Amino acid sequence: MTAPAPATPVALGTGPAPALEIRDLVVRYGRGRKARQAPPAIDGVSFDIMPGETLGLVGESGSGKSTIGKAVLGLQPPTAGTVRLHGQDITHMPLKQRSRQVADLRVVFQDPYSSLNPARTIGKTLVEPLRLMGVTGREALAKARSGLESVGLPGDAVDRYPAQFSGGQRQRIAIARALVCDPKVVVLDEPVSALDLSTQAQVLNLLADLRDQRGLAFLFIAHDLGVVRFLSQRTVVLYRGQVMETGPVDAVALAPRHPYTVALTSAAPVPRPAEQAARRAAREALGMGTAGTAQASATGCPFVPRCPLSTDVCVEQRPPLRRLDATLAACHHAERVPAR
Amino acid sequence: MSVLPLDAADDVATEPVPPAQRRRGLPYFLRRPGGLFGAVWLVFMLAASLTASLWRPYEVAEQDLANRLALPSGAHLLGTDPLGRDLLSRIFSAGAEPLLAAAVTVLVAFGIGLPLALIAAERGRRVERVISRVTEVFLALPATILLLAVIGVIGVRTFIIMAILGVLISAAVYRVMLGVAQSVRQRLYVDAARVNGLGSLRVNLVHVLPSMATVVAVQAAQLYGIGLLIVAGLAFLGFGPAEPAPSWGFMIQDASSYVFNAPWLLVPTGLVLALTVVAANELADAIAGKASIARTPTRRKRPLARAIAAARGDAAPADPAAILEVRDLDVSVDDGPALVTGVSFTLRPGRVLGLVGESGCGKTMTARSLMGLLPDGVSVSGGSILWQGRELVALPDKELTAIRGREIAMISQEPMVALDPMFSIAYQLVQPLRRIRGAGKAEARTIAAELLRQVGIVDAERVLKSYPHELSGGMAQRVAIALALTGEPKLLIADEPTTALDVTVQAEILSLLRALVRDTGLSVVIVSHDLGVVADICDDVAVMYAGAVVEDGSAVAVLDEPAHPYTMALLGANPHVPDGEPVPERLASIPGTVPPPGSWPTGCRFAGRCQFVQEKCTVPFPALPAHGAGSVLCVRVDEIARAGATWEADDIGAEVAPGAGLTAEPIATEPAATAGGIR
Ligand SMILES: Nc1ncnc2c1ncn2[C@@H]1O[C@H](COP(=O)(O)OP(=O)(O)O)[C@@H](O)[C@H]1O
Ligand code: SF4
Ligand code: SF4
Ligand SMILES: [Mg+2]
Repeated sequence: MTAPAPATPVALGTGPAPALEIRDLVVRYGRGRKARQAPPAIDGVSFDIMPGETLGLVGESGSGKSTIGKAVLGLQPPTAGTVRLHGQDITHMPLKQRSRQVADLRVVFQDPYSSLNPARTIGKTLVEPLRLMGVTGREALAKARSGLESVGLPGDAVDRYPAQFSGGQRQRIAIARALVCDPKVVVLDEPVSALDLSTQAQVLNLLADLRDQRGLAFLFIAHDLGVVRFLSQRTVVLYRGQVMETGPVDAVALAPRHPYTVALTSAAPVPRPAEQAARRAAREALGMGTAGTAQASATGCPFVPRCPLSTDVCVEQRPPLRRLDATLAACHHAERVPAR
Repeated sequence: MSVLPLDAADDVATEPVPPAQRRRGLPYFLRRPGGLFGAVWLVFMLAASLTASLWRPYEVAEQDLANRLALPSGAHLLGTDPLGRDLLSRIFSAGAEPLLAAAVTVLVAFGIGLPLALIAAERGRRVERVISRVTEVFLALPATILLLAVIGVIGVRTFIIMAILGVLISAAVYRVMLGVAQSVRQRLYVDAARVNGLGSLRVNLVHVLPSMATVVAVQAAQLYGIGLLIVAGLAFLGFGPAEPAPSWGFMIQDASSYVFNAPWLLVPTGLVLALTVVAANELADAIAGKASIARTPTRRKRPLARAIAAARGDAAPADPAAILEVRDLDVSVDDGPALVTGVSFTLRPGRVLGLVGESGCGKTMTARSLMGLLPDGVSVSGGSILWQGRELVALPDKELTAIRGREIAMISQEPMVALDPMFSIAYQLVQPLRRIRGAGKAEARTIAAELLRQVGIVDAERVLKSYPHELSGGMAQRVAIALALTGEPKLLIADEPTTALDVTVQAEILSLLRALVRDTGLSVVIVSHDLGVVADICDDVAVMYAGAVVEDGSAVAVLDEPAHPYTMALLGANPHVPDGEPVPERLASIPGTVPPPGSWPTGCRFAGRCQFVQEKCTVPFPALPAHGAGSVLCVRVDEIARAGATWEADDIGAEVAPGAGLTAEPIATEPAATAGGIR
């Protein structure tokens, strides 16, 4: 396979190599003729994550966030594109081989209830990946205990079953399972979406502590830009499997240049009535279309049916990602997006 | 193959039994009478039949011609057959064959069907399609004719015949197990194990199969019962062991010709066969958890409150403009702890009141008590709910039902709960419109389309024709709101109506609710854990903690100048910062969890988690007026306000400190029980 031309400008040669590198990723579910005619779940997505960096992946449900996570982890084979971990192409590397050769990519899932096997003790769950890496039984158990301690749980929790823990504690256990192998890159697929507000705050703080202490790189998937802003440095905004906007998280959140990002940011309510009223007025003035209504044309911008700024060119041509003030946005009329 | 009840797998829980329960004493299914009977009977039958040659009082062919067709006696405990042979000896000597042959069918059927299902579930659609095609062929084969043909070729060899039956049935087993395996494979722990690099065989053995164990056991036990009947049936038709060797089927056949002159003859064999089949089915039911546990009859009693409220009768509200006035409302588990205590609020027409707090603080119970829709075994135990001057607490269920849906309507977090998957949207809207508004069929349909347009559905005609599963979450919630509006209610109770939705869709639904309030004068009580939602839509807010309102007032006052430490903490834990404010390094969090009902401390219920707790917080104290017409339930509120103190965010590194997750949430000693409907 010849090296595909990167879709986003990447520094070549100089600077540190990215921990995770995704190029022109395409993922289609299914194989039939029908599946080939439908737009792919992921349609040409590229981004990098540097060592120690957290990249937030946001979008509405069904936008393809989890699919990207699965493609990175090897759970869903990509139709096209490449995934590189520390420069090594792992796009089509089988899962078994991955865990032996590149033990430094792990995952935490959203649902703390279905992500732990209810019939196995916490110890068995934590020891499993270590044993597969060739760690001896005794050493693995010791690591499991210290892994639990590093997420604020007692080491003797190894003898207990998932049912004996609350949602927040289970999510700590799932984080410990991801971290016992000492990974460099962790995919976090909506790790706090199922938690209560105060528990969510604890788990977010925990992730921030671990990130700072261990220099971890996170691919942080969330549907909530507020949560992403707390944990990430940069963000990728996804819509129907395509990147709409990307850049430093504060720039994307505070000065979005893409109409879809504007829709996302203005919809997230803040707990201050006066400011929320202003946001709501601004949102209603945008005249944004209803979410999830019509299908977009295959050739043009996927946001056309909902976009108040769309014109003929939007229907005909897919807008490329291009540099604006502080972000890259894929919109023909980004200059016309009102500043916030 | 219609003999199989295997399509019933859907309602069987595929969750493995929580080991915490499994550990202690007997397996759970043996604790049900049916399960215990089934297991004991099957073990007894197997043991007794396999050892029959050792203990039977007579040989199977031994004739006692003096005692033909005898009733039970000391010599023949179960009586004798037409040749004077001992029934007890014959029944148990005949037992081994059906008991073992039925097991062969089960083993073969699952031995083939289960691995195929696991492979198909793992390898994805293409492999699955191939296997499914092959099994369809098997399912189409006429099993009975095939078995008779086999008998014609190889003769009456029960075990081989039953093994072949197992092969045929494996197709049906595959069908059922495929669905189960596919659903288990979607569990995230399977993905997590694969990411860890666990091989395919081990993933199946360690993670997939154990989660299927319940379904497998249930289906196997059912199939076993069917196998028994088939063996007996074959013998009944003459395809069993040749005389004088005994078989249940032939013994029943024999007895049926003496049914008039010696009816007893049918009883022992028939009963043993029936009991054995029933035992297999009871065991299956018990494993499935379906066994009929004697349900404690639920009485809807509201002893205290009804007496109090009835004595007081309807009263004029303190606020003449109020449409709803709740005073000192208590909600309790009957003969159990209080879930909500002393909740008071008033609501004027066209106003929106928010109930906020963590889950488990009594928001849903409070909201549901307004509708008289508390779960079984929970009731209002004190206080009053004045609805347009009428006391709802004392109202008989019949009158409450008349108010529900007409004057007061409700929407919930899961819109699909309100919608019946079997019926079109049109049907579901037209029915209540005809019933409540007395509209004719055509008229009701017109109103239904209007209602859908009112809730912002543009293509109302298309949506009317569709079924619930064809709608997105946001669309379903709009339809649920339209359904709530069919009775033209004056009050809408919305329990977390946007929690399951995307922020963009949430904003649309909130706009819709706001428009309804503005245009129709609807009043709304909205339950939410999101203070942003409260800021967006509520005029007033009541912050609830551990069953009590700890702070209330106008939304502006409470959110902009929170006085209670709990409100401050909730605001600090919210990661959404207003524009212009920096994102904090760490969020505020609240250590520990909400204490469950029944274990609330005296004095301030928040004392165990509060950054400002002092000795004086642990003795009872009254709520103080705050925020104009509101109140705050904190004894140190003035000190905190004077000092300008705020809830501190966590220290950096605090969450990785030893025991952080422990102090944050104490490890449950009992399995975290999800109290049915009580949140
Ligand atoms: N296993 C699957 N088979 C077919 N389609 C799928 C599957 N998983 C996800 N999809 C589809 O792919 C798209 C992206 O889904 P997903 O990655 O789960 O989005 P998100 O995580 O952003 O909610 C959606 O249209 C979804 O319906
Ligand atoms: S390209 Fe056109 S349709 Fe797409 S977001 Fe920009 S203005 Fe809207
Ligand atoms: S009464 Fe005491 S413990 Fe309760 S909220 Fe006030 S300061 Fe905290
Ligand atoms: Mg997802």
